[in-house]
Amino acid sequence: MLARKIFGLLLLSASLFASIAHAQGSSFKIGIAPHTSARVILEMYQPLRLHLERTLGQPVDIQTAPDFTEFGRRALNQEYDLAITTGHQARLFQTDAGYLPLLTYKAEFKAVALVTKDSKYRKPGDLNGATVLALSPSSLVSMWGVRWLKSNNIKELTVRYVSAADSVSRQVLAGDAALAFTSLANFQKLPAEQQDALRIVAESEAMAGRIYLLNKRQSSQQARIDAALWSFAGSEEGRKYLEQNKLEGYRKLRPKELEAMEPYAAETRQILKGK
Amino acid sequence: MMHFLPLRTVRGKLLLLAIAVEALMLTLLVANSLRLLTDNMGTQARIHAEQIAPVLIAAIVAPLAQRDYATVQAVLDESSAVDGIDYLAVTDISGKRLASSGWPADQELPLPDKEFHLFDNEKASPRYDVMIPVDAYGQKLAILHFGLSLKQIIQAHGQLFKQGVGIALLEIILSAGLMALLGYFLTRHLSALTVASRAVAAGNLTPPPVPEGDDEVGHLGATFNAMSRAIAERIRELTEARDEEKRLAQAAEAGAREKTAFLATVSHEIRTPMNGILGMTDLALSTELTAEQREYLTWVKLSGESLMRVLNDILDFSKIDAGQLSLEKVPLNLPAMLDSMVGIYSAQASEKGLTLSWQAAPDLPAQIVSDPVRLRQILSNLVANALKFTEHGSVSIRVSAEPLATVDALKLHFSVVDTGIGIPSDKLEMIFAPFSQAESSTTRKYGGTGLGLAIVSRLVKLLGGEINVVSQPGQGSTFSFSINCRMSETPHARASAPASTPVPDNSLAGKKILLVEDTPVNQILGRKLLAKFGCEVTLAEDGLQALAACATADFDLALMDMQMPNMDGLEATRQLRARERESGRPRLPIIALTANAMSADRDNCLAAGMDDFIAKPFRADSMLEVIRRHCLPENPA
Repeated sequence: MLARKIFGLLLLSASLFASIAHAQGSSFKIGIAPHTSARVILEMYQPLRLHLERTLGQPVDIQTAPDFTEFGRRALNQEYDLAITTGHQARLFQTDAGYLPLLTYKAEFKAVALVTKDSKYRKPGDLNGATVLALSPSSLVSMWGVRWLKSNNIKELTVRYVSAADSVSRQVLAGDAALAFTSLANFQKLPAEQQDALRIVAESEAMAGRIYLLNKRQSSQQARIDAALWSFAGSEEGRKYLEQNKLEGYRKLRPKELEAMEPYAAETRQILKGK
Repeated sequence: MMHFLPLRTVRGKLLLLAIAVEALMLTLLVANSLRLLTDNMGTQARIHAEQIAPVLIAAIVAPLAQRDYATVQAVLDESSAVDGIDYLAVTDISGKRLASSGWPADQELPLPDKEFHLFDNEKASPRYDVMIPVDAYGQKLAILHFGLSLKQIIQAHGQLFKQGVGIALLEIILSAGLMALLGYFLTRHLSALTVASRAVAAGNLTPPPVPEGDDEVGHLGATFNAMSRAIAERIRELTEARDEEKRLAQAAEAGAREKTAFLATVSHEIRTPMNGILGMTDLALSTELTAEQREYLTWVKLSGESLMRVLNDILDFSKIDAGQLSLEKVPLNLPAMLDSMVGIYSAQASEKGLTLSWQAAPDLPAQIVSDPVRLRQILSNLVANALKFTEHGSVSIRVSAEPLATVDALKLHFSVVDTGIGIPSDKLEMIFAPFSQAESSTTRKYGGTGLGLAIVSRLVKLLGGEINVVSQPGQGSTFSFSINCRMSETPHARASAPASTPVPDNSLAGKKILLVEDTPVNQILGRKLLAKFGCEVTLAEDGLQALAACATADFDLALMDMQMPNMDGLEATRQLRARERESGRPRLPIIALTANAMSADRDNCLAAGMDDFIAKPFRADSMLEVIRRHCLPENPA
């Protein structure tokens, strides 16, 4: 019994030593998919960064990318220790780069198509010849939107991709485009007057939202990191973060939940290969 | 020349002071402006850096979060084009350069400046290096480096310095000109005052008026002009007063001369008949007379002598009062003179049953240099007075000497002490005043003019001393006086021998005497006296006859009256001397016989070539003594 305790302490010490040694080496990099502007991402994820710095005892950096495609390329290039991205990229990272899925949010992730409230849009055919805004081609929202347009046989239109995800709704309101695709969560984060000025004309089915994936080289730290994430969700800062972003909390992934995103993942893979 | 030295003038000093103050203030102003500029530019540079940094950071936060370094590079390239930025660079936290613009890639970025220094000699180009961490919501994304160029600030600094110095120099030049102009306007009146004052100092007491005005300098000019006028007026008054005083002095001098001439004339006119009276009386007394006749003639002689004393007193007093009494300084045997004094008055003392003596201190020098005639006159007056007012007891003369600071100078103290009637104390002060005696009854009882002590007092003063008297009525008086004199280096023959009664002798027998005299009574008197001495007398009544007599006969001596008709004695003497020089004849002794009692007369006689001087009225023994001295030079009396 005593020998087991001593062995446990030795393991703990070794684990702490390894942790400290790792901390002295470099920072823990968290890559956030550019689902909104880089500034918003930095602001939004600061509570998590600070919590992980305290919990892991090492510097933590939040990073993002100019667009989803570049983000996917970097993740596949093993540049992130922890990646937080949409389901289709999560599936791609899991299959093609060995990332270990950890958890996701309780809130459902849906994509929406927005027009102005006084838009002449009544049916998808009204969009023929119009300009549509979407995020990068490899984003889940964009992919869903393109599929939704195809499914409604709308072919003669211009799809313009913008990196500033939180700007698409503004551009629609400004008249720069007739319709824009964004996430339901982003729409809900808009100010009330903007929300009132917009109208959702299509909404996707619930999809796997932002998935937390651990790089395979951090697999030995999976338990600590997993515990740290769960402890964040239980902390005051974490609850506030989840509440402000209407994410409702963390949950484990459901069986086959990522596999369902395989079609989008395949399409993404093709996009990345095309770059 | 002093006003040409700028530093010595008030204007110059004020100008220099003003320039110095202005230069100091302008230096402070320029230096302070440069300091303020430097501080302000430094502040501006820091503010500029503080303003640039957030903009740059805002621009690069998103690309940095996205690790979009190309965008960061584009932002830096775009921003470095802004004027005033030397370089821009972004490194990660470890220092690895992520993007840079305007700085060589192979060169390490400069360290940031801890403080702002406008002039940093260590840098090739003036620059302010800044390093700011790029944080976003607490996350350190990178480090922003940039360098602000300070060239413009330094150029502005240099321009401000040049312009400041230029403006300061121009200001000083303009101020100096203005101050010089102001100084000229302010001090030109002072300069005029200086010129006028210098003219006054040089003797021009009435220089041209200086400008006047309503200001302080103008008031000063007005005051100076008033002072100048007052001085001129005062000088005029003083000049007039001096001229008046000079005129009065000349008038007084003329009056004195007239008085002296009058006195000389009176003296001559009185002495001439007195000579005859006394001489004839002496001759008459030397003849066979009855007792009664002798008594009468003796009274005539005494009265004549009294009259002569009065006359001599008046003449002496007048001469002293007119300042015409000159003193001699000749060697004098003091004991001999005192012996003589006692000898002269011993008979008078004996008649009154008085003791007359003199005592001297042991250290009294025998030989001194003084005026024996005047000293004798002083002592004679005092001794005669003492004998006059003393009925019982004694009269004594006491002498002591006090050395003075100079080696051979002496102060002689004389006292004439008597046991006479004395002088009341309330009369002592007036006793030396002329024409006064102690009591009005004194004149009635003892006679005298009252001039004796006044003459004594003045003679003592002339001899450098003073006289005083101590007296107790009924117990006697002591007259003390002192005189300044010198010790004689060589012994001198006794100057004053006691008077002796003329004793007829025949030492002059056969001597041929030329008597030149115009007054008949004196002709008779002279011939009688000389005949008594055995002389052969030839008479000449004026100078011309004297010259004629000398031309035809040889004489042993000539007695020459001075005032004669046709040719006076002086002219006759001069011509006789001239003839002697021309012919080489031996020098004829010529003795003046004159009633002119003034010392100038004696000098005139000697100047004309005479050998001695006999004043009228003369005593027979005096005449004999002088004649013997010159006729028998090898056996002087």
